[in-house]
This record gives sequence, C-alpha cells and structure tokens, in this order.
Amino acid sequence: MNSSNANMLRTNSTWTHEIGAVVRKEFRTELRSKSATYTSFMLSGVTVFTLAFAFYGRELTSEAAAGMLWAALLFAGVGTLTRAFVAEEEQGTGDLLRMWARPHAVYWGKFLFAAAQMALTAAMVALLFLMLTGVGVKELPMLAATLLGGSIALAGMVTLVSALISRGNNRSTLAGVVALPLLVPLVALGVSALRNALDGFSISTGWMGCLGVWLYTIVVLAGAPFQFAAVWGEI
Amino acid sequence: MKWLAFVAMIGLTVMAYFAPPINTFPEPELARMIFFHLPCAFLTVGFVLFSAVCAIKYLSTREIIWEYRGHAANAVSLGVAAATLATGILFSKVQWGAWWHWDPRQTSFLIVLLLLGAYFAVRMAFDDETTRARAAATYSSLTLLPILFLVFVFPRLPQVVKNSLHPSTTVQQGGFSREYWTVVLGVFVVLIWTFSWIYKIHVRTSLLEKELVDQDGKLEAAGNRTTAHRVDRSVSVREQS
Repeated sequence: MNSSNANMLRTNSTWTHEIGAVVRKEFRTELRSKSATYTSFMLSGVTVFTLAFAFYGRELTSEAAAGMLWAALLFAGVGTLTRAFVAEEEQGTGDLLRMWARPHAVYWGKFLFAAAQMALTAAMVALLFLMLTGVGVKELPMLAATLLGGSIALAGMVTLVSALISRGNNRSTLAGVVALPLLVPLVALGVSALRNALDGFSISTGWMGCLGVWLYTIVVLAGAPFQFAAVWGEI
Repeated sequence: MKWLAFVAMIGLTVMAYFAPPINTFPEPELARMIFFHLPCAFLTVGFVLFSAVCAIKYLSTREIIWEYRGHAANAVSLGVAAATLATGILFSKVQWGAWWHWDPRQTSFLIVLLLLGAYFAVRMAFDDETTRARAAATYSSLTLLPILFLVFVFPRLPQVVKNSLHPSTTVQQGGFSREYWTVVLGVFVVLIWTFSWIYKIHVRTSLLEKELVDQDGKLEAAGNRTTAHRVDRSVSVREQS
C-alpha cells in the first residue's frame, strides 16, 4: 500500500483519535497478557534484590545507592520497553498500525503507554529499593520529580530505539548496545539528583540535576516523533 | 599534495622536539603526546558533528549520497576517536601513573566511542539498503544530544572539573608556549587534510559499490549472467498448504 492510500484511510480520523486508539490498544493488549508489566516488575525486582544483597551488612553511601537505583531502572526500561515495536513486527501487526495511524500518532500512543508503565515500575522499584537497603530520603519531592522525569525520558528514548531496531537482526542484543550509550547523559544527571535527594547534601545541585533530567526529557520528546516518522516509514 | 602533507608532518615532528617542555606536567618531555592527542580529539568532534548534519540532510532529502557521507564521517571519527583514546591512555600512564583513571574526560570520550560503535552495530543489523540508511541516519541524529552533552557540558560541570586530572586548564589558560601551539595547529591542519582524503575515498568507494550492485541488478533483469548469489529459502509443508 502506498502513502496516498494509507492517507485516504486516515481522512476520517483526527490526531487525538489515533493516539487514543493506539493507547487503548496497548492497554487492552497488556490487560489481556500482563506480560510487559509482569516482566518489568520481575526484572527490576530481581536487580534491586541482587544489588541490595551484595551490600548486605555494609553501609551504603548515597552515591552508590543513587547509582544502583538508576541501574535497576535502566534494566527495567531497556529490558522491557524495547519490545514495543519488536513485538508488532514479529506478530505482523506493524503494517496495520502504519495503515491506520500517522507515524506521530503511533509514537505518542506507544510512548504514553510506555511512560505510564515505566512510572509505575519506577515507583515500585524505588519503594522496594528503599525498603531492602534501609537508605533514608531527605528530599522526597526531588526524588519523586527525578523518578518521574527519568521514567518519561526513558520511555521516550527506548520507544524510539525499539522502532529503530524492530526490523533489524539480533534485536535483543542490539537494543542494549544502542539504547544504553544514548541514556548516559540522563543517568549522569539523574544520579546527581537522586544522590542529593537521598542525603540532602546539596539541595541546589540536586534540583539542578533534576532540572537537567527534565530538560533531557523535553529535548528527547521534541525530536523523537520526527525521528520516529523517518524510521517507521510507509508499507 | 600527498607529498606535501608527508613533508609537513616530518617538519612538524622535528619542530615538536624543539618546542620547550611544559614544566607543569609531572613528565614534561612526555607531554609532547598532546601534539597528536589534542588535534585528534578536535577532529573526532568535528567529524561526529558533520555526520549528524549528513544524517539530518539524508532524513530530509532521502538522497543516498548523504547517507554515504555520514557513514564515511562516522568511520573516520571512529578511527580518530580510537587514536585519541589510545594516546590519552598513554598520557594517563606516564603523567598520572595508571592506564585508566576514570577521569571525566577519559570516560566521556569512551562513551562517545561506544556511541560510534553502536552506530556501526545499527548499520550491520539491516540487510536492505533503504532500511539500513534510515535506521543509521536516525541513530546518528539521535547521538547528537548525548555527544554534545558528553563533549561540551559534562566535563565543564563544577563538580566534575573539581575531580578531573585532565589538563584542560593548562590549554585554556595559556599554559602552552607559542612553539607548542604552532606544532599543535600544524598537526591539526595536516590531520584535517589526511582524514578528509580518507573520508573522500570512503565516499567514493560506497558510490562505486552502489554502482556495481545496480549494474548487477540490471544484468539480472536482462537475463544475462550475474555475480549475485541467489537466495534459496526452505519452505515448510504447512506453509505451502
């Protein structure tokens, strides 16, 4: 099907309808299988448990704790969100999405679901991590804002990476190779914010880190739909 | 022109031995590694930014030449980045006593190298030329934000500068003599010329490869002999029924 035929099919739908339809589809598919949420919780839970166990009986510094928490979030994000478009291509439903929705709408729909899933996972991981390690929190709003911004940025970037690798060879290995270096700035800024949120050592530096996380999020979301449209293509 | 570059490099190497050593370094004589290290670092950033421009041009025009240019620029910058890192590691050993110090600049450059490596992993993952070009260009444009952060922002953060051993202040605050700068800039010019030449050869090779594939396709379409290997796919009984 060429682009003009696909466009004709979309004439009766608006952006919001298309985005809403993709989000509903994602939630319904997830409610049916519960696979992504379950895998995400299990993966991050096992990571947190292993890291906490490795530090059992030792005092955990805020620097190490912030790094460990981000490592757990990265594992959860890259391990599960990269499936978003890979699954569509494997099941042969990618072409249907191309036919019924504009590329930007597909991206935003997938992103909104991924962001909700990642935010939920981040909240669960943070709670589990703080419980198991016994690390205290001095600045709860900073912790919450950083985790929320980080989850949105992770979802935005990994959704794009998922589309990028969805038709490639060695997809599962490629996902980590491609996504992790791109997320380094986010992790650097996020660790700086979380470290200060945990020990309250320098509130201004912590909020600067948190602001950096949100700026990274804005830049990613500003460019990602266009980059997604380039890589998603027509049938 | 090639001979001129060769002679210039010999001249600059001789000049390098006459430049007065910088006594702020623990091993002033061995600090001459900077003559090669610094221009390589500048060149890496230059080629990486150029490849991002090529990627954006490809995505907006869909002209394959921009993909070839971006690929060539990334290939050159990977080589130059490896040279930068290798000389940086040697510098670290002789000046600071260890091969790897987790210095912020060393680490950020290693991540730039990983981003470049991932670009080639993306390219290798696709067999179809158009899909490969799209994916590679998208990835190259995606790397622009992390690279700008890692090269221009991260090493300048106050908490990072405080813990860095990297002699950035020596360079920025006039720690180099005029002779030092002459050699650094001279090597920079010669390296720009040399790597631009390699870049052009890379682009030309890609164009010739494409022409060969196109010719092969035309021969196949005309029913003549072709060098292409046919792909035989096994078909299951269930698929046939």
